[in-house]
Order: sequence, then C-alpha cells, then structure tokens
Amino acid sequence: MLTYLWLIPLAPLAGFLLVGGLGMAGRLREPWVQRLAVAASAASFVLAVAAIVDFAGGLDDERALAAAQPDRYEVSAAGEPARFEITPLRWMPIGDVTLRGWDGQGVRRAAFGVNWTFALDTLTAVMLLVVTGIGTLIHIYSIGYMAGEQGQHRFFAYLNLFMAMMLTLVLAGNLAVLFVGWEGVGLCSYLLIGYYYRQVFDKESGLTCADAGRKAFITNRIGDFGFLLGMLLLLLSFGTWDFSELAAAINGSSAYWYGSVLLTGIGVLLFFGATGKSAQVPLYVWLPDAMAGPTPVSALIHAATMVTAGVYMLARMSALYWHSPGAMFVVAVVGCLTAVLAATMGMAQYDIKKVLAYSTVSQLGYMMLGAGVGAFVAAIFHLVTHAFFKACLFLGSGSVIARCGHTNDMRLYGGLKRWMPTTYWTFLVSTLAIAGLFPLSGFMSKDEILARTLFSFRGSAVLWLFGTLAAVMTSFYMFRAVYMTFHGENRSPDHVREHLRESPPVMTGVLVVLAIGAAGVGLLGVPEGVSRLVGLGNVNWFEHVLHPVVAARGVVAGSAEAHGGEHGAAPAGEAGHGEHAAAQAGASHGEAAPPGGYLVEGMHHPSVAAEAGLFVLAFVVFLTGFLLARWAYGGPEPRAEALAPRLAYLRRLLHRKWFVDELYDRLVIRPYYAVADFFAAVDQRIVDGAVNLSAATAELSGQVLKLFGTGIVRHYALWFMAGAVLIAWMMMR
Amino acid sequence: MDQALAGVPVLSLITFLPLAVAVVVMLVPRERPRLIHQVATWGSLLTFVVSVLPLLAWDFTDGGFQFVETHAWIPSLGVQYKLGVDGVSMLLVVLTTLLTFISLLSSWSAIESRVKEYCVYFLLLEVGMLGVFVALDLFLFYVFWEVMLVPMYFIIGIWGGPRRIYAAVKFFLYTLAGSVLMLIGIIALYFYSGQVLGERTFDIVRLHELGALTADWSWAFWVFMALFVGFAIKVPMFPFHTWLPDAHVEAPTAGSVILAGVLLKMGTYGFFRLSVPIFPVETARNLPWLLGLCMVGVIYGALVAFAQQDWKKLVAYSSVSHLGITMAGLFALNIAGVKGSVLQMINHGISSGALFLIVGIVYERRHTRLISEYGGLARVMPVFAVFFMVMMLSSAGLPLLNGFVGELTILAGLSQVGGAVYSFFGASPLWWTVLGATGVVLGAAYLLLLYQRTMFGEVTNRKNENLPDMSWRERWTLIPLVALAVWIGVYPWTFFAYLEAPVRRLVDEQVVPALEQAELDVLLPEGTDVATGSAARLPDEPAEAPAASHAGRTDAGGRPAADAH
Repeated sequence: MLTYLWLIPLAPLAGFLLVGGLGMAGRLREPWVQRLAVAASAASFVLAVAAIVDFAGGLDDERALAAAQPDRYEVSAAGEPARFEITPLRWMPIGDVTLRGWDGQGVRRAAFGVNWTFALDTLTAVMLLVVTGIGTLIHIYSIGYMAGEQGQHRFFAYLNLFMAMMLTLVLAGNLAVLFVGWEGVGLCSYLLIGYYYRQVFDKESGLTCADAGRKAFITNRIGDFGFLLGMLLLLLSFGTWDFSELAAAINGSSAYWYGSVLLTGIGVLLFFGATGKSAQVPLYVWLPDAMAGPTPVSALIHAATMVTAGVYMLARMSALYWHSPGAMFVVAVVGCLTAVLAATMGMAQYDIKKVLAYSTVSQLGYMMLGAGVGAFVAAIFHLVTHAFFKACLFLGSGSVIARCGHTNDMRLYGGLKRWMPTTYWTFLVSTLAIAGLFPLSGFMSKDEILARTLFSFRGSAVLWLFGTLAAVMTSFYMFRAVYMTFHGENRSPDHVREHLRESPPVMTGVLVVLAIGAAGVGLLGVPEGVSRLVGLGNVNWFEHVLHPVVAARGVVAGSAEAHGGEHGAAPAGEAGHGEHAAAQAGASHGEAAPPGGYLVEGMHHPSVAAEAGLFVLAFVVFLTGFLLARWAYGGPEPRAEALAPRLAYLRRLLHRKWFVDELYDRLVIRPYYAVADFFAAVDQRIVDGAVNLSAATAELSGQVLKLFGTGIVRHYALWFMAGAVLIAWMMMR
Repeated sequence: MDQALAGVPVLSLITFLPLAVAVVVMLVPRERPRLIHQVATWGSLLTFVVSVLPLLAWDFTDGGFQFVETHAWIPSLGVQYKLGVDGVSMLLVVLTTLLTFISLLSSWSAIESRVKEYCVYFLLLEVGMLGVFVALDLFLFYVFWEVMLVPMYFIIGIWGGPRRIYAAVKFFLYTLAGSVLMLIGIIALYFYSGQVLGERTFDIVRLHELGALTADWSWAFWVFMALFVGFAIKVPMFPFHTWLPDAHVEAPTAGSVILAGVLLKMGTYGFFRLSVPIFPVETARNLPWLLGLCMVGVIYGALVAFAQQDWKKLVAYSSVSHLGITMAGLFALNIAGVKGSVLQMINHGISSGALFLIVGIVYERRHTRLISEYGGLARVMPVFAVFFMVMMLSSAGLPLLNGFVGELTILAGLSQVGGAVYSFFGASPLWWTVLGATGVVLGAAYLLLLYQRTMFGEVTNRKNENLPDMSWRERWTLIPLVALAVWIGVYPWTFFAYLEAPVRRLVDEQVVPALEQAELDVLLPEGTDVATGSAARLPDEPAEAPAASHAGRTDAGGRPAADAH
C-alpha cells in the first residue's frame, strides 16, 4: 500500500475535478455533488489509514524495493526514524547550481533538480490522520450546513481541492512540493473565503467577502516571499531541498552549523512564511477576516488544518531550528506575543466566529511557542487536540448560526441551551477542553507546552508567565461566548425564535464525534509530569511515537559557557541555562549529546512539589477565567454592560483590535496605492513624455529645416554664400 | 534527425506554409467572410501540426542547430538562405504557430470588416515571425524582422481601437528606430567578422565564434549597445516600454495576443541568440545596470499595472513586469537562469496571450475596457470566470501552473550569481534575488485586484446583467492554453528536455570560456580558479568583510555567514 502513497492527495484531486467539472456543466444534482465530495475525502482517509498500517508493520519489503529502484523509492537506514519516500514523477530539472561553500566544503557545482517526492514518517502520519479524519467529518457536516445553498458544487469542489493540497503539503518529501501544497491551500482558502463573493462581510468597515479573500491571499504571499528566499538560501548552502538530505547535512556537521548566522537567517525567513500561513504577528490580520467564508471552511481550513501548516513546517525543519537557537528564540517570542495579543482581542468581540478566530490565532501562538522552546512534540500534540476542540467549536457555532438566521452576533443569541442541547453540550465540552480543564485534551497539550516553556533549556520564565496570562484570557473569552450564546434570556428577533430548533443529525453527529475527540484525545499524550504525579511511569504515547522524528540530533562539542550566553539559548535573564545544559546533558539525554555538548533538548527536571504546583496552577487559571466570565456575563443582567462605560477606552481598543488594521492601512496599503498612482503618472508624463518629446523634437526640427528647403536655387546660393563668408571670417580671424 | 524527415526542407515548409495559405485565402471570394476565416484558421492549424513534427524527430543530445538548410543567396556579400533550429527556437516556433491559430480562431466574430486583408496580413505576420526564429543568417534574420513589422502595423492601424493611428505609428516608428540600430550592429558585426574570421559573413553560427574575440574589440561596447537598444525596445525593457501599452490597447484582440505572445519574444530571443553569445564579456561587464533595468521593470511594471483603470493596459504592464524577470534570468548567465528564462518566454506567451484573449471576450460583448464598467461577472459568466481564474493564477505564478516553474527556476538561477561583476555599488549580488522575488507579491496584488473588480461583487452595471457566457469556439481558444499551463506546471520535463542542450551550449561553451579568458569574476565553480575571483577560497578560511545582505553578519567562529564569498 505504501507504494501508492501518492494516491492519497490524488483521490480528493479527482473529486475536485469531477465535482467541479460536472457541477459547472450542470450535470450533477445536489446530493451527488455531496456524495462524490464526501466519498473522495473518505477515500483519502481510507488510503491514509491503509498506508499507515502498512508503515507501522515495518519497512522490510520497501527496503528491498528501494534497493531495486533507488530512483523511485527511498527508505531510511536502520536506526534512523522510519521514513519512506516515493518519487512517482520528475518535476523541475533546474540544472547545475553553484554552491557557495558556506557549508565549509568549498565552492562547487552540484546537479540540482526537483521531483514530485512524497514521504511518510510518523510526523506525516499524525498529520495525515488529522487532515483526512477531521476533513472527512467536516465534509459530512457540510452536507447539513450547506443544505439549500445555490452553487454547492463550487463549495465542495474547493473543499476537495483543499484536501488535495493539504495532503500534498504534509506528504511532501522536499521543500518545493511542500511549497506547492503551501500555496495551494492558500489558494483554496482564498477561493472559499470569497465563496459568498457577492456579499459584504463586515458592515462596520464595509469589507466584502472578496476583499477578505484577497487580503488573505496577499498577506500569505508576503509571507511566502520570505519563505521563498529562505528556500533559495538553503539551495545555495546545501544544494538540495530534500528534507532528509537537509537534515542529514545539518546534523552531519553539527558543530559547524550550530548557531550560525546563515541558519538563523534561513530559519527566520522560513518562519516569516509561517507567520503568514499560521497567522502570527505581524501577518495574522487576515485570519479574523477569513471568517467571511462558510463556517465549515473556518473549521477545516482556518482552525484545524491549513493554519497549522506553519507549525508542521517548523517541526519538519526541526534539524535546522535545533541548530539555530536564535531563530528558535524568535519563534518562541513571536508565538508568545501572538498568544497574548490575540487573546486580548478575542475578549472584546461580539461576532462568535471572530472570538473563535482570535482564539485560533492565540492557540497557534501556543504551538509556535512550543516549537520555539524546542517542544516540537508538544506543539504538534497541541495541533492535534486543537484540531478536535476548535473544529468542534467552529462547527457548533455554525450550528448556532444556521439556526439563528445566519447572524454571527452573540448579542442576538442567548439561552440557546434550551433549543439546541446537543450543540450546547458539545460546545461546552470543547470549551472546557480549550480552557484547560484536567483531564480534557486541551489541558494535556497546553500544559505540556507551558511546562516546557518554563523548564526547557530554550524556554524562559517570562515567556511562561505571558503564556499563563493568555491561558486565563482563553478561559475567560470562551466562557464569555458560552454564556452569551447558550445561557440567559434569548435575545433573538421573534421570527427567528419561533423557528429555533436543534440542527439535523448529520451535523450534530459530527459534533458529538469531535467532542468525544476533544475530551479524550489528550490521553494519547499525558505529560510526563502529570503521569508521575499520579504515580504512573511515562505513558506519553505521542511523545514516544513522534519524538525520534523531531529530536535534536548531531553533537556539538565545545564549551557550553562560551556559547550558552552568546547564542541566546534563552533570553538574557536565563543565560544560566546553557551551563545547566552542559551539566545535565549527559544524564538526561545521553543519546542527544555527550557531556560538554550544548545541542540538547533536555529540561530542568522540576521537583514533585513544583509539578504539583503547576498542576494546581493550571486549575486556578481555568477557574479564574471561568469565574470572571461567569461574574461578568453569567447573571441575569450582565455586569459587563454595566461596566462598559467605565472601561470604554479599553473596550474600544480591544474591540478594534489595537487598531492594527488601521495601522497597516495607513502604513502599507494607502502608501502602496499612492506610489502606484505616482509611478503610473510618471510613466505617462515622463517616460512616455520623453518619447513623445523626441518625436515632437524630430518633427519640429523637420519643420525648421523645411524653411530652408524652399526649392528656390537663389535661396540655396544665398545660404551657400553666407556659409562661405562665415568660414572665411573664421579662418581670417 | 529522424529518417522520416530526412531530406525534407521542413523549416522552409513551416515558414512558408502560411504564405501558401494566404494565397488560398486571396482566392476566396470577398463576399464569403466566414469561409475566409475558416480557410485561414484551418490553414494555420495545419501549420501548427507540421511545426510539431520536428519536435517528434528531435535529437536531444545536439546542442547545435538541427534541420539546417543552406542555400547561396547573394554570394558576393556572403549572404545565405540558411535556416536551422535549436531547442529554444523550435519551442518558440511551435508557440508561434499555436498562438497564430488561436488568434485566427478568436477573430471569427471580432473581425467583420475587410476580413480577407486581415487574414492575409495575419498569415504574412506569421511568416515573418517564424522566419525570425528559424533564420541562421543575420541578413535573412533582419529581412524577416522587418517583414513582421508591416502587417502588424496594418493590423493595429486598420482593425484597432479609436486611437489606432497614433498607436500604430508609435509602434512602427519606435520599433523601426530599434531595428535601425540593430541593423547598424549587424553591419558592424559583418565587417568585424571579416577582420577576425578571415571572411565577412552573416552566418549566425560563424558569428558565434566571435564570442571569445569581442572582448578585445574596441567597438564592442557600442555594437553591443546598438543590439541592446534594438532588442530592448522589442522586449520591451524599461524605459523603452511605452509603445507597448498604447499598441496593446488599440490593437484588436488577436493582435494583442500575437504582440504579447510572440512579438515580445523576438527581443528576448535576440538577446539569447545574438547579444549574449556574441558579446558574453560585454554582457558581463554591463551586468549591474542590465539587471538593474530588469528589476526596475519587475517592480515598476507591477506598480504601474496596479494603478491602471484599463483592463488591457493592466495586462500590458504586467508584461513589462514579467519580462523583467525573464530577462534577469538570461542575464544570470548560468544554466538555471537561462533555462528558466527561455521557459518563462514560453510561459509568458501562454499566460499573457490567454489574458488578452480573455479581455477580448468581454470586449466583444461590451466594447469597453474600463475595469469600472465591469463587476460581478462571475455570476453572469461562470465558465469565463473559471478560465480567467486559471490564467490569472498562472500569471501570478501559482504552483502547479506554468508561471511558477519558470519563476522558481529563474530565481534559483539568479540566486547563483555571486561574482564581482554582479555587484551593484558594492551591494551583495544576493539582492538581485530579493528584488526579483518581490514580483511574487506585487504580481498577486494587481492580478487579484483586477479579478475582484471585474468578477466579484454584485453586478453593478445593468448592461452586464445578460452577457452570454463563452461560446464553444471561445472556449477552444483557451482550452489549449490552459492545458499547456497545467502541463508545464506539473511536468515541465517535456519542455526542459528541448532546452537542456542548447542552454548548456550557450553557457558552458560560449559564455563561461569567454568570461574565464577575460578573467571576469562571475562566481565560477571550484577549479576554474579565476584570478580575481573568490572561487578558490579555502573552506576553513574565515569569511572576511562580507557585503551587506539580509543575514550578512560574520560569525566570530568562522561559521558560515550568508554572503561569505
């Protein structure tokens, strides 16, 4: 089955072509549009499961295949983490490239080409299951949500295309194929945000859905600009874009690469691409507006899968990031900043989808924070749990929106618990999960990230503090949404209230499945600290499976003191970590680095008391947010409204999102229009003006010369005489 | 060469087949315009089919010219009738025949007056274009070059828009000024060949031998400049581009397609075939400002396109931007850059040609090109919306479509440049890549805005309420281009295969040896050991004083800095 790995993205691609083509031709009735699209998505799920089962069964057959056809198959060596690659088709024979010798091996020429390579390892396997599993669920949910809409073939075709692109992204064996998926999901996001291309999305600012789509695409392109430059620098340094070759090249001369300016630059550039795709500061601004798309799209693309591509990319390039602590530090700080900033914005929104959107930005910030402090496994784990609870939340909000007359405004909800019990309970479970109540999934993953931030050699207490602060806010804004939507008196207009009822089973069924996932999936990765508290050994299955793929490899010999401070393994206040790293490396992670090496991913092992403290603190954080929301929004007359006049400035600041959009408008968008207009005028007046001027000059000189060419011989004689006299005068002078 | 085509003067056949079709067209009675259209269209389809034959009988190992035909023409001047193609010109020939067929097919409903003249001019134009690509004798090349100008002048001037006379005259005079300079350059080369090769010749293959010699020629710069201006006008490179928007705006749809798809390629082809191989050293010496002009074109073209209110003008300025990056690839003077550049020539022909067809389709319905007149067309013309979307994305360089492959290959090539000759006022050559890559963002900005303003939103203009969607004939003008865009995007290997050998011949056999001889520092691989170059730097040597670049700080430990050459 593994040899047909490339069929996994092809199945939804075929669905896209069929549904889109036949649908556009009007040959496909509505139920068949839905059936075909769901079948295509389900097919990729089945194929993915089959491939992973095959993969888990060992790679011996494939190893034999790879020996026979080395151009087509590749299997990682024994002892390395299992990885299977297949290259079904060649792609771009770029030609010889001149490597600059930045890798210390001299300037040289290398043959370079890019092929359609797909690869499977455990990291990809996890992503495959998330994308195809949750993707298929959301396809099914869409049947109910989109019922009665016109032009559904467009929606389902794009959704299938998205699946194909996302699967290309996670299956990519090299950066170029990843980039195909990377841009492809961006395209689908653009198409689906603009699905209601005739409507206005945000009445306050007059933003249309088409505007929102374009904003998403352009913002992503700005990030991709950096990503592309990072790719080209990698090409110049290593002469390859193949993930396994890049990792081998970096790990192979670990001491040479560690902390190098070049890797840091590449890491930051690639991460800049990720700030676009994964909505981090400074490029997060497109995601809240992306809510213009249909709600299942928000759930699938703008919460569960596409926006996590940046986190996946970081994990995929973990070898590079391990070797550039500077880049990791940037990732961690940006992630932490995003988590806090987006959480503050989420607290003051009335649009339920915008609350969830800012929540997504904030949670993505956590994932980045995790990746930045070296907790790649925890980051991916949070990606998985987040996919469940956030998809459930979005689909729950979709269920509410569909019943409440297609309004997103929470001020027009209230008391919906009565009419929509299933939606309520699933929404509540997911809220508890994201707010971090033990033992639901959000606790497991978020707590792991925060613990790692505090204890990891690359983390810091400051980042941890801000992360915890954001967790309080998370709990607050989520319960605020629950109270405003499901509790209290109903505030819907009468004609809506009369028709309030629960959504059809095709939607609630999906909600239940996702809620079960949101509650239970955390058990796959119980943090080590927690399991020790309850007296178990390390039962973190997720860590066990994923860690080998993203582990720090390579050995850097040398004095830890010399490099610990210099390379910023931790922010300034935490410079001491480097020394601890050196001291503890041998003990805790002997396989990662010998004593004296400083390429380690270990952490300070806290005392049981500290772990118990953290555990209690997590609960306190959860409770604080919950009680605050209950105090402000839980009563019959929300106190928040009474408080509002006193906090007007703060509220306005948060509601208008710190005026970042306005800032970008003034600093980037308007100047761009002005510069474009200026150059258009320059082109017409000056550049083309010069051309027309030279033509006019030619004509004028012709007109002047024409005066002399009278055709009368006596005039010529006169001019001849005049010339002769002039010359004679000059000679005699 | 394949046995099947041995002995057949296949290139002459391809080149003059349109002339035969034109003769047939002339025989059709004037009163039957539909028949005239059909004869011309199917005749051009036949030309396309014939022009594909050499591709099937191709020798991929031969970097030189294939299917060569040589006949004496004016022996006293050393002028020959010599035709031949390499992979580059062959692909351009096929692009020409395909786009001519598509253009004629698209004209069925657009051209209703003086149909016969139109078709004859169009077929003559095709002869001229094909002749330029297959000619291996500079004299013949120049003849075809000028032949091409006249029919285009009439096509714009007779069937064009309201300001057609202004545009036609501007087009004619501007490009004529260029070709006169080119002619001076050609004559200079002719006499120079007499000095150093022993006999005066117009033979392009012989003239390529001058590549290693022109470095010492005192007139080299001026002759290079004469050719440069001639070709740069045609490309068009900034600041010689202003004839293009006018010509495009006024030309009929088919004229714009050919103008963008093929005529502009004459300029890039001229650089590929003549300027670079004959003046490799001169090219290298002038690289900073040559690349500078390219980059100005990329950014300036995109900015000006962004501000346009006229649909066709916007697409015209997008050509300036795209050809900027195409020329930059050529000036990278390495395998990846040149290969990408040639592929991008084909890509631009496909994308830009298709975008002009798309404008033409709505122009035929509404007779306006103002973007503000449209809006909300996606609901009225859903099939049109899909075609437009695909070609818009192809032009914006989205992966899986053709533009991306070309752009990425060019950027990969451009990122390799690293020698001193590429340095612009001491800045790191890596900046060229950064500037070139901005096209990724800027291109998306104006294309997406165009698409949104014309296709999305409610139908605001009631005249657009009942526009008919694309007819099948119109669909068939775009289907081949969409298919090619996807083909090149997914499996460009087919096309790169034809480019491999000729590009290697240019870079490895013509450019690199000449530059080595002239001891010019354009980052060459290890072992070439250029006296002034850095190629021979020892790996362990710490990087010293690297030029500014985005990561160009030196690490104390001698670790790699981003620009440590």
